[in-house]
Amino acid sequence: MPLPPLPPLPVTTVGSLPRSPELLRALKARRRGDLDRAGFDAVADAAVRDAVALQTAAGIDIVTDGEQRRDNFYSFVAEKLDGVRAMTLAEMLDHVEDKAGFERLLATLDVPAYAITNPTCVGPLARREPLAADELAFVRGLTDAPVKVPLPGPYLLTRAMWVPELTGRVYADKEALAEDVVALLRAEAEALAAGGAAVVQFDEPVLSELVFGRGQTRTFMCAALAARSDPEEELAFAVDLINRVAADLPVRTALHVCRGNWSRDERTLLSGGYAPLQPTFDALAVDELVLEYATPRAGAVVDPGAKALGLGVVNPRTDEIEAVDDIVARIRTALDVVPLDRLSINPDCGFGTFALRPMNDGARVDGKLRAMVAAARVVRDDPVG
Amino acid sequence: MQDVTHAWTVRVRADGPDDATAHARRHVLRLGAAAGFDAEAPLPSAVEALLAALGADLLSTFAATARRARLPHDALEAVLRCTLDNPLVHLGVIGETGSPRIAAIDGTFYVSSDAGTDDIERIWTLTRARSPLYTTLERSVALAVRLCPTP
Ligand SMILES: [Zn+2]
Repeated sequence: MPLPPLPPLPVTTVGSLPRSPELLRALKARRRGDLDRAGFDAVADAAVRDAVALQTAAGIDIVTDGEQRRDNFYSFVAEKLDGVRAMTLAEMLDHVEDKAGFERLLATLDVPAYAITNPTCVGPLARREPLAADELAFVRGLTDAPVKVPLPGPYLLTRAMWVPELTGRVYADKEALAEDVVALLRAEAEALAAGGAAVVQFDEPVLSELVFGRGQTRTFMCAALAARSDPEEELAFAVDLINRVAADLPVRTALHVCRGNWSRDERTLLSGGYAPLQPTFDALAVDELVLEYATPRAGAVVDPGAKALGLGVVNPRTDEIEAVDDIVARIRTALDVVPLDRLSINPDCGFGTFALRPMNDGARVDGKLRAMVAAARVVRDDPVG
Repeated sequence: MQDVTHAWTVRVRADGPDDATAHARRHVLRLGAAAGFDAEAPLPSAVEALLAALGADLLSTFAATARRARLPHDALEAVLRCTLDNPLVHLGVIGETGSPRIAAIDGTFYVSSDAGTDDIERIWTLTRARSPLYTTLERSVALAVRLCPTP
């Protein structure tokens, strides 16, 4: 299906932006039960207006709502679905299979277990309200710009939700749970398409851990709870789920895969090029791959084949704003592999993947967004240099 | 004013080689080896219990101090680690010299609070000064527990 028209070399984000102190206070008050939904929405609506204004002023072509309403990129679904409970990792420690490995992970990343919530499946899944269609409607009321909506991918969500001790009482196995996850996400993506989303992006960061993670420190909290099984089987399982959600949707689809975005300590993040994931990428029925290329950890640019590539050109986890010339050089290098009309520009990951653990502040985010926009303009005018 | 002069008694019974039951008033606590080196050991070791006790002390003392100062907080968590000077001495390895004493305890005390960092640090300083176990251990062990405020 033809992709919706976008400007050449569109600049976008991976989704999340840091939350304001007021919003964080509201998020925590809501979690404690001290703030009702209407009270939270009032604070969050204002935050989304600011997030969209920041992107618009910076010249971002495809905007998001900054994931302002979400506590993190996947556990937010707990509030929208029946059968899912948001549990902090502190509450879940009793259920973690590999406790020693989990403790190593927490220590390496210097994180308290209370800081992360996981959407744990504790009953039959049912959609109580839209996961993101209302977020989209609100943003579309603020701007005429194309809007991207990130959703957790079906593999990530299945793996995070499946906690054998609790979920096993409801679903026979992970595969049975995945059936309902696929149906939910497919319905949501169709609603987003109908609601006028320009791009629906599925976040599947854990894919990289399957191929890069062996022998390296585990880097994804969201996968820490499931024992690792055979990577080849897991990848095939993941591809099947993603394709059943994303294939032939009447909207441009993207898949984001990175190597972790929890810590500013680069040593805690996975490293290595995406080449080991190339067969997986080739098998995916999505229009675009959104990948990180701003650090040397990421290796050479993969050939996305007929797909478009979202090229990560700024590191969300550093203080310094990338030089426009350096970004231009990165984009031109990528043009050796991907034609201009299939390339878009983005940061390596979100700036606030976890609300309570933002990777940067507003001023630096603004600087990095503007650097991307300036670089894209240079390359649009002069692709070769 | 309550009577703040107090003494505590714990009676510890040997149930097996690495299995002890401690009775503290009407509470029961089971512990294993002195210093466990087996990751699969069925019971926590005495060394781990000491770390747990220090952690629990800091959490409770911080919470009480914060409450009195009306400092709001959403969550507290402590992680503590320690090493022995020479664990081989504890194991009785012939020819090993030195001490099996705890050489160092370090760790992190996480506080999730909307309060300012200065206010949290003030409570943390008071906590360390008011904690029975912290003030005891800091006289005999290199003790370094870092405060880490989080949103
Ligand atoms: Zn990412």
